[in-house]
This record gives sequence, C-alpha cells and structure tokens, in this order.
Amino acid sequence: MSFSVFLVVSQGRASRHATDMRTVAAAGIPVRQINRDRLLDAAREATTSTLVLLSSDAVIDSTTLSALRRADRESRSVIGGRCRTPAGDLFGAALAPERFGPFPFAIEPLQSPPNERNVDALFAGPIDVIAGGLVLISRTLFVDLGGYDFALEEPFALVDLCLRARALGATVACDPTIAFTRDMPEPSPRRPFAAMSQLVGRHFPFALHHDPPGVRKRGISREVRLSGGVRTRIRKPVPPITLLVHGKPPNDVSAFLAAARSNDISIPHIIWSGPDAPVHADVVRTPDPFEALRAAMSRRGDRYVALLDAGRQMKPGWLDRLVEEVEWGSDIAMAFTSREAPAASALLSLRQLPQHVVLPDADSLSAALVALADSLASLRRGIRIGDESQETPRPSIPRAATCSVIFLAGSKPEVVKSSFEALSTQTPNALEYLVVVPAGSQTTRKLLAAYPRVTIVPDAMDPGLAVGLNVALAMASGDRILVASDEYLFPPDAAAALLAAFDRDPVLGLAAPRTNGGELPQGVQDIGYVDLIAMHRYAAERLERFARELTFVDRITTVGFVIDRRALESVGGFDERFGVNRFSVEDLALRVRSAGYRTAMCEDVFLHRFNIDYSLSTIGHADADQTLWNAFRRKWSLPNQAIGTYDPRPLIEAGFDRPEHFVALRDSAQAAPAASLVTFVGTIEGEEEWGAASECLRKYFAAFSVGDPVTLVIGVKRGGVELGDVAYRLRRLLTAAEIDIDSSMNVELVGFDDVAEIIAAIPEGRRLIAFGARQAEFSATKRISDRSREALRALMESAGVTR
Amino acid sequence: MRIHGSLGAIVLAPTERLRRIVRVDTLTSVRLEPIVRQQKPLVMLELRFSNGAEAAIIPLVLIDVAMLLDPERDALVWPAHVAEALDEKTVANLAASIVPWAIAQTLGQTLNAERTWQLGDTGEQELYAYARSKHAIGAAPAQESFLQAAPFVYASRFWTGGRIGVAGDSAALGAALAAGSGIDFEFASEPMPDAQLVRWYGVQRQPAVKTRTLVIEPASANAHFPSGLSNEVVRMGVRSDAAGHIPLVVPAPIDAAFPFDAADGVVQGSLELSGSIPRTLPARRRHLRPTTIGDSGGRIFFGVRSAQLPEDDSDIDEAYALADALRIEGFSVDVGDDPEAIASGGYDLVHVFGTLDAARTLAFLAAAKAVGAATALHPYAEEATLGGWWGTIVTRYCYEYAADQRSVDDFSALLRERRLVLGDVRADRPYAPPGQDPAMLRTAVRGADVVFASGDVERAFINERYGRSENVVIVPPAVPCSADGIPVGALTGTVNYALIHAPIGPRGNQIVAMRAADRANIPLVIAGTVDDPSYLALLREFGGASTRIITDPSAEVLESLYAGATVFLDVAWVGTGRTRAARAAVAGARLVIADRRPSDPGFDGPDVSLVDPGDESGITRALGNAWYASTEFRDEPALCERVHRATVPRSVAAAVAGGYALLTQSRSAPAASV
Repeated sequence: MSFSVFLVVSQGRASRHATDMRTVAAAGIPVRQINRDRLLDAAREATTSTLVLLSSDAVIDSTTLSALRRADRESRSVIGGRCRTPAGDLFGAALAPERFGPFPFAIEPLQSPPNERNVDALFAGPIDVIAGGLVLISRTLFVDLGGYDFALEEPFALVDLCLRARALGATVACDPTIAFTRDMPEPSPRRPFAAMSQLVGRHFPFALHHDPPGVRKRGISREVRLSGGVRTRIRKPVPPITLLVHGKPPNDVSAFLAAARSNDISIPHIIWSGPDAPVHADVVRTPDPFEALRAAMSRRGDRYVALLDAGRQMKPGWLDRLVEEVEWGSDIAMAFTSREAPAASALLSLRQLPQHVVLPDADSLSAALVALADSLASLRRGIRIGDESQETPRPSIPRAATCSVIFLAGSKPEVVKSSFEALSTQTPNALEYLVVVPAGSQTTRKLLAAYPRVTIVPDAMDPGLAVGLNVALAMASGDRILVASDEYLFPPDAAAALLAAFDRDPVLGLAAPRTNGGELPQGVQDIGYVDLIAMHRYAAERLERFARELTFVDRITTVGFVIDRRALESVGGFDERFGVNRFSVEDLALRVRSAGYRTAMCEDVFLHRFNIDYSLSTIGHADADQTLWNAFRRKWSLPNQAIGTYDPRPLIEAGFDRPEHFVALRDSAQAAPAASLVTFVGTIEGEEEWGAASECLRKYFAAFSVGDPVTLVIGVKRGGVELGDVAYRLRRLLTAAEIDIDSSMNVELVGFDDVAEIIAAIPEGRRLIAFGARQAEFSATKRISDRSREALRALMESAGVTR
Repeated sequence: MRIHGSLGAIVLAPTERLRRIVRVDTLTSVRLEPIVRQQKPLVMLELRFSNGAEAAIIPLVLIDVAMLLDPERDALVWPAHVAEALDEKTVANLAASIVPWAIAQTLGQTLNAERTWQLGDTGEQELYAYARSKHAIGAAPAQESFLQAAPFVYASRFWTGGRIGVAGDSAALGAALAAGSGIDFEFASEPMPDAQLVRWYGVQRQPAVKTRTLVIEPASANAHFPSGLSNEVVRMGVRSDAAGHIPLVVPAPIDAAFPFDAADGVVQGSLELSGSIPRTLPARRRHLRPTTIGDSGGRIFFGVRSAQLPEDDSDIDEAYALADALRIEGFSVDVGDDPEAIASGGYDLVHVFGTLDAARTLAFLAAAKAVGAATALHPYAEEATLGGWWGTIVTRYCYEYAADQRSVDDFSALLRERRLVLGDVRADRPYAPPGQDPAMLRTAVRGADVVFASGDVERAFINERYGRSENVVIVPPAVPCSADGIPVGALTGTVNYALIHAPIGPRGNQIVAMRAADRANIPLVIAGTVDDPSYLALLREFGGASTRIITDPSAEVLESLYAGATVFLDVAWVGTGRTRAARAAVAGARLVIADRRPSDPGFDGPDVSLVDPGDESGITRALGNAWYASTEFRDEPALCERVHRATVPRSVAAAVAGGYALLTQSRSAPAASV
C-alpha cells in the first residue's frame, strides 16, 4: 500500500519534538513538510492513494511505519492509532451524550485503563474520533472533505474531520498497532465554546458511537459518585439479568430465544410466564406474569429484570440498548422501547427501586409498569422511553412526616436524664417517646416515666436492650423513628436537622450524625472542645457551616440515628445477636442499603458521645469487640480481617435477601421471659472474679434455655465491676456460644452494696440456689459445687420444677 | 446557603431592594440555562422578583445538578452578594419552590437547552417576552444578554467616584448594574430610556447631579444629559463593528463571559473610548539606550525556550535585554530556540537562559559542546521541586473543582498550610513534573562552563543543590532599555494599579494574586502571554471589578504598564524572577515577590515584601502595605534608585563579559565534570 507522509506544520515551523523526516525517507516513503494552509493543495498534488498526516509534535519510528504499511484500510477511511503520551496511551475520543450542558455531546478521551492487558482489542475498530497526531486517510477522501477546517482549534478540527468523513460514508477507526509518541501535552483550546457551538451547528444530530465496541463488550458504563460529589463514568461488569418472557409462544421457541439472546450482554436466566409457557430446556415456566415479575423483583441490589413480549420481533442488540438507557443517568430506574406497550420490551434496574416499591396490580403488565413508573417521580427516579426525553411531573411536596423517638436508657441516671431532656426538648412534635430500660432499672424507670408521652419499655430478656429495642420499634407509629442511646447528647437543633434530611432525599433510609472519636466511620477527629459550652459552640458551628449537607455512606455505626419507616418495614429491626452497638447498627444499615435505600451522615449534626467511664452505659461497649465482629463476619460471610475493614459494596449489590436477613420485630408478649420458679443467684465483685464467673455462666447457659422456668440473677458489686460492663460481657458470652437471645435462659443483673439488696430484688416465692464467693451469705439458698449440665438440671428438678 | 464568587460584577439590584422584595410569592420567572465552566457543563438560573412596585433580578444562581438527584448538598449555589441580602430562611423557601421544578426538568431527561417557568400574571409574562426580545438578563440567553452587559462590565474600571451616565437600548441594564454596585447613575434625557426595560430591571431613577465620570452610549450617538457634561468624563461608545478600541466578543458563560479579547471568540462589536482617559504615570527611572561603542570579536548564541514568545517570561526577557546590552558593546549575539541552529552558526559561545525546558537546555549545551563552543548558563536556581511545582499543580484545583465559596476557602487554607495532596504531588516531598527532572537540572548546571547567579545566596544554593562551585559568577539582572510606550489608560482604567506580568497559567499563580488584590480593593493589571487558556478562564471567572487582564501585550503596552505600575507582584510558583522585578523597581514600583527563590541582594529593604505564594492573606497584607506606601506618601522608593544604578546595561554587560572572560582562561580545564 503506497502512502505519503506529510509533516503538518504551522507557520513554517516544526516542533523540536517532530519526527526526523530522514527516518521516513530512509524507509523509501515519500515525505514532505507542509504548512497547514497548503495541506489541501499538497493532498491534491500527491501521487499516493493514502496520506499519513503527522502533527509536528508527533514522533513515529520504523515500527510505526511497518504498522502503517500493514494497516488494513478501506478505500475511503480515516484511521488513527495509539498515541503514547507521558500521561498514558490515548486511542481517540468518544462523542458521548452530554446530559446537562449547552451541547448535546461531549468529547471524552479514550485512554488505556490501568493494568489492562489486551488494550488493542478494546479500541480496535470503529471509533468516533481518532487520536490526534497521526491520521491515515485516503487521499481522495481528504480532498473530497476539503481538508481540515483549521479555523477550529485542536482537537475540534479533528473531530470535525471525523464527523464529516462519517457523513460521507467513510469508516473512522482506530488501529492500535499504529503507535506513535507525543511528548508534549496538547495545548488546551482558547475558544472551546465557540468551537463546540460550530460542531453542534454543523453536525448534530448524528449517531453517537459512544465507546468503541471492544470497550462496550467489557461491561456496562455507569455514572458513579466520587467523594466530594464529583461524578464520573466507569466500566463495570454487567449485573445479573433475569429475562421474563410473557405472552403466547411463537411457533419456533428456540429461534425466538436465540433472537432474544442476540446481544453483547448474555442472559443466563429466562423465565417464561403465562398459561401457555412452552416447555423448553432454556426456560423456567411460571403461570402468572405478575407473580413472576414480583418474584424477580423481590431481591433488589444491582440486578436487572428484562421483560419481553413473546409476540415481539426483536432486533439484535435490543437488550444492549435498554441497558444503555437504564445506565444513561444515575436516576434511571426503567427503560421501555415503546411508550404504548412498555411491557413489550423493558428493563428494570432494581438497584434504583427501594424495597417498598412493588409492582402494582393492574389490568396488564404494561399498565402495571406505567403505574410503577408514575410512582417513581416522587422518589426522583426517572424512566427512559426509546431515546425520547420523558416528561416528568413536578414531584409533589410530601406531607409532613411524623416522628417517634426511641430512647435507650442504659447509663447512670444523671447521664440518662441529661440526654433525654436534651433530646425531648428538641422533638416537641414526636408522637411518642418509647424508653427502653433494663428490667431491673427501677431508678431510671421512675426518672423517665414522669415525662409526658413517655412509654417505658422494660427489657427483661436482654441486659443489652436489643430485645426491648425491637419491641419499641414495633410500637413506634411515626413515619420516621429516631433511635438514640443515652450515650449521645443532642445539642440544640440536632434532632430536627437529622430528621430534616429525609425531607430532602426521598430514598433516604437511615441518617446518622457525626460524633466525637475518630475511630468509627462517623467519628470526627481533632475535636478541641473541653466542656459542654464549647461542645455546643462546636455543634452550632457545624450546624451552620454544613447546613443541609449529607455524605452518602455505606456504613453507619452510631447508636443514634433516624430510620425511615418504609426501610424499617422492609428490612426489620435489630439483629439481637449483636446487642445494641456499632455492629448491630452497621448490620441494620447494611440491610437498609441492600434494600435500595440510601444511608447518610448528616454533616451538620454533631452529637456528643459520653465517655463510657463517665456514662457507665450498659450498651455501646462493643466498638472493638472481636467476638461480635466475628459474629458479624459470619453473618455476612466476610473473610477474616480487622474490624470494619470490609468492603460493603458487594453485600449491597447482592440486594436484600428477605428470607435470610429480615429481622422480625417483637411485640411485648414475645419479649416477656417465661415465668420463673427457680432463681440461681450469684455475685461478681471485682475484675478478678470475672474469669471464674464467666466459666460458671457458660455452664448455666449450656444447661438451661428460655423454656426453663429458671432465672439467673447476677449481683454486681457497685464499685467493683460496672453493671454495663457485665451486661456487655454476657452478650459476648452468648454470641461466642452462638446462643440466640431468644433461646437463652433468663438473666437479671442487680447492682448491690449489700447482699441483702439482691435478695430483696428477687420476687418472693422463688427457690434460690446460690453460686459464687458469697454463697454462704445467701443463708436460705442451696450451694452449688457441680455445674455440669446434668447436675444443674438435677438441681432445678430437685427444687420441684421440671420442664 | 451555598455561595459562589463567579462573575461577581453581575449584580443587578442593591442589597436593600433585594431584602425588601425577594420572596417566594414575588417570584415571577425562572429561566434555566445550561452553561460551561472550565469546559464542564453547568446549569444556571436567572430569577426575577416583582411585588408590583419594585422588581429585581438575581442572575447566576448556579445549580449543582448532581445534587438534584443525589441531594448531598443544597442544589442552588447563590452569587455571593445574595448572602448579604437574604436570610437562610428566605433562601430555603425559594429553594423549596424552585428545586422541585428543576428536578422535573432533569429527571430522566437531557438538559441541553433553556427552560423557563413563568409564575407572574399576563402582564408579567408580556414583560418577560418584551425583555427577551431586547436580550435582557433574566429573559434572554446569556450569549445575548451578557453581550449587552459587557460594555458596563468593562466600564467598571473607570467608574471611580462620581456617577455614570447611560444611554441607548441597554441603558436600563447599565443603570441596574450601577445600582447593584452602589454607583450613582443617570439616564440620558434624550434618547429616553426604554421604560419597559427600566421596569424589567426594577431600576429606580435617581435625581441628576452634575458630577459624572463616565458616559456609556451607542457609538456616534449624541446623548443628552440634562445637567451637561463635566470635563472629567470618559465616553464609551458601543459600536456594532470591530473598529473600536476594545472588542466585544460573543460570550461563553462562564469561561469567557466577558473576555474583551478577539482571541476568545467571535467579535460582535467594539467599544470606542474618548474623553479623559486616564494617563499612566511616567517611569521614575529609565535605562536609556546607549550608543554602540564596542567592537568585540566572537559570535555568541543565546539559547532560550521560545523565540516565538519574546515576552513570555523573565528568562527570555533577560536574554533579549542582555543581547541588546552586549550588542551595544560590539558583541555579535543571535537569540534562538533551536539547538540545531548552533551547529551551522559558527558560534564561539552558547549562553543558555533558564531551565524551565530542561531538555532544551541540555540540548543547547550538548550542541555547543559538539561544535566546541564554550557554554554559559543563567540557571535561575530556585526551589521548584520543593513546593514550586506542587503549588503550580494544586492551586488551580482550589478554584477549578470548588463547587462553592466554602470549598474555595477550605482549599485555600489547605494550600497555605501545604496540606493539599494530588496523588504523588505533595508539598512535603520533592516533586517535579516530567521534563523537570532534578537530575537534568543538575546535569545542566554542572555541565555549563560558566554559571551566572544573582548573588551570594543563589551561588550558595547552586553549590548546595547542584554541587557546582567553580566559575559561578554574580551578575546583576539585565533590564530592557526603555522604549516608547503607548497610552494604556483605556486598558487599565485607573492611574494607579498593581501589575503582575507573568505567563498566564498555573505557574504564574495569578489567581491568588488576583484574589488578594480584590480583597484589598486594589486595581490589578494581569499581563502576559497565555500559557493555559483554561486558567485564563478561571481568572476571568473569579476576577472582581478590580481585575484587568491584558493578554499577549505588545512591547509598547508593556513599557507603559511597567512605567505606571505602583506595585509589582511576582508571586509565581515557578519562573519569572528578577529581571521583571528589576524592571518594575527601576520604573518606581514597590515589589511584592515570592519568598521561594534565593534572595537577591538587590531586592531587600522596606520597598520589597517577600510573601508565600500560597498565602492569599499574606499577599493581601503585603500588597496593601506597598500600595498605601506608594499612593499615600507618593515618595520614590529607595529601591528605585538602587536597582537603577545596579542594572545600568553597560555594567551588566561588563559583568557578564567578565564571566565570559573566565571561559577563555579555563577552556583547557572544563568547569565540572558531568
């Protein structure tokens, strides 16, 4: 193939970086330096069929020349190559649709992805715009095009040339084997707006290639959010697709299925739904398309469900186009091919549909899809119909939402009081305050019961209050439920700001504040306040400085948050095996995220978390607890790694698995322990006793379960070991033994100064059996020496009770 | 509320009026238009409010479009002046009304074209249509309306005190802009202003008084102002052709909203200036061109980065100035940027200026050695790898990627504290971009036969950093001899101004200087070749009323700019340097210069402030002090005479020739092995 090389220069000067023309000439190739205003004339005069137009800063070598000789070119084509630059290899540009902006498309460079091995396969073939620096073009085409329009600056002149070539029916393609070098960055244009205006005026509309075919085959292009709110598009693997075929089968089912599968994207699962569903090895038959679609939608996450009418003639790539449409923007939930019959060919992106959104009943699938689409505007989810813009109704302003407050009181009374007062004064419109307290905590019950609209929810089953919390969640009637442990102090206006986040984001499922302590995801480091006044000042500054600012995150760990009722009802309550602490909140937030809701930190809300040494809280001890972390890992099948270092995205993309992960809330009857006839009683008075006591307690937990009419009362010496600490350690014991709180024996913790207080706290009529160092002081009790399962149960039975 | 500092000159109503009438129930129209910022798409709103008696327009309310769909922050970003006028509640109420409409325009849709939302009655809608037909801000596309506003934006450099007179079709807009900036204005009585547009902008007439500093009117018009004209009036005629002094270019909001530069777009008209245009002050001292007397032998080649850009930076300035001085002494000097030219030139000596293009510097030296020519180097040694290139790269991102003013402020604080990190680009460890490898610099400095330094500090620096101690000769900077300037008052607008002359780009760090000057309310002239057009766009976006940008100034314009500068700033992260500072000092300016270079003994004392180029506040203080020292006391800086004496061309030429003389003594023993 004969070609000439034109070194195109401006104002008669070649760059110092230009190709040494002697190299080209030595290879027997005609080469000339041409001033760019003479380029068209030179092309007319050239005798070769093909021209290589080389920018004055592009360097080619013998390898390039060999590749140029080998290049497979059509008679009328524009071929570009791989441009090596200090910033990476450049293969050209895609003219991608521009969603927001004065121009309908943008010029997006196509660069080699990092660590990509087979780059050539990605970029070889048709391309919107070739890389600047080297253009292999048929001479007659160049002449017919009238050459470059140098009134347009680079890179616009090249874009214009490629678009005009395509308009004339020529091929524009990249041949990555043609490699050349440009050491100098391309100067940025001085008049890009004017140039883009000209390009749009001259050429638009035209068919945008988007990414090259090789790139498209590598997965979907999705807009993702980076930190700081910046958006970018990335390539990622195609999410799982279920194809739901409905309608009467055609005569040749295999041919239909082959046509349905004629896409770059493969379709592993096909469900054929309807009374006439065919028997075919590739399909699963179901009778009712509505139920089939609902079943396919039951698990959300990053998945697609495609619908196809069996009577429809598909063009190859029908699903590829629908996938492009649902990935067109970050807000698109569905794409239809036809406005009139949406179910004929449609794609649902389930990650965009929060779990509470379900397919409504309707006369037809199409009508149901239309109704579903209509309901999405209020969630700020859009749909695409073909390549039309969808007229979207103005989202209505939602009714004022109601709020319930659940307060977990497990700290010492003065902390409980200050935290509750701070919270209750800023939630005057709360429907109710559901205060969860340990069953034995008489002081706290008395303290808080005096406040208006307070309902005390005693937790007799779980010293860590997780059971009581699930009872309270079931009782709460508000649209949004504020859950706060008394460890957190709400500065003025914090609760209102936390609740207001839901007014701004219709798919917000759970919102949490920032708090002190940098070790947890919501923690703020380097906080300098030293007293309450300074803390309030700091919180007020945040409230103003970060007003209405959210950070969407996948992990929430503070036992102070607001959950949306729809999200709560979708995923259920607290997983009681973790207690109430960072792990259970994180577990809840993960479920909320995987159900298609967002979870966020409210940057404007700062809550002060009391130091545990000060609050003496019975909950929230577990920030760095390895036992609970191991249990969390087991639940979510995470590898063995340090606490909190996992990547939650795969769990979220997998979607919420209701049968596996839904946690039912409790009614108060479920939370009541079985009537107890026998009480084992013991004491722990200091840290040194914990080791022996824990060994002993393990045996009790192994011997008895919830059905046994037995209670274990543990007296905790005040000033010895903290009550909360013991409660937390009990939780660990249960979790390590994989004993569910529902199935564990009843335990009560009682603080004491004098042993008599323990006796006084035990209802009359129970038989007492003692353990621990103070056995002798429980004069009315039996003493225990053998704590084997059999011996303990024999003791229970000898006390006159059997199960 | 989120605010931004873009295009701060476009304020169309005074604070008090905004405070009185801006509410949800007075909102009569919302116009949405996709625009471009830093070549990235953006959407802006123009809001108009009217309560029947009064009206106001708030343009340039930017929409952070991503926030409409993923509401992490407020979607609306308000122009900074709104924060003074409106409280949080009013803004929140407006957002609650406007954002759902904006979402409805966005959801599932492309937004490549203008959208409007009319809330007013029929009369208001008719007024909107009329305003649109007249290309008014708030009703017409920005490419049309900003073109109408351009003459008034340009005129802001002249309206210092007094009042302005406005006439013609856009008089109402001019009056609105003046009112928004707190400037008194006066309509021409003949022709009468367009009453509908006066209503549209909500302009309230002011009683006429005699003082007037500026008249803006259609070209060739003879507008009549009832109180007559003062002698001090500058007249600006708006022409529909390109024949005037200042081109009016089709705007490209925001990047080139008001460029006044034909290189930036299609010229749609021009401004013709007449009357009492300010005249810049003469230079305090000048280096007159001496008569050629010498007749030395030998051919010298001066290697520079770019002979195409003789005004690009200080290194090239110095090459040309020194070539001039040496020619006067009889040397034969050629200046060029092509190392290959050395082979055929028969040169005895090759003198290279600067290392900004280190590869080229090495190529010059290699080419010289290949032909046996002696080599000399002006390295302009500085701490580029320790912070200079870091600042060059990260500073622009403080502005380019900042979605609002808070982000700019946060980033600026991090910049000052050297805490901004961009991948490998960190302030706390050496960094140089490709082509600036310190090893290349070291090779160049060690490879030249003689090296020139500005003083002992730079000589010590060269020794420490590059291991070069022999044949390092101290020479004063070569300053260009005075040439004839041309009037630049039409460009500068004021008699006194601060000047920054550096290639317009991240290396020159003009944006920090510009923000500092804006804060100090000091007119700043930014002159230079355009190194990076997108950086120029940032300067135009963030430049306030005190900023004048002069791209690619001619030698004559530069001569006048230096002569008139009250303060000269050199806050570049890398480059520029002593020649330009010396030139400004000789002309009588006080200096505010970056503290990153080895200090020059000539630039000390009270007339010179050393500043951290990343510290906007520090630059503001230094600039303010220098400015008021000059404008209040009007004394000649002691620096002027001192630098003038030190930089007499003949002395500089002699010092350099002394350096060359070393070469003949040491040719047999090359300076340092490479």
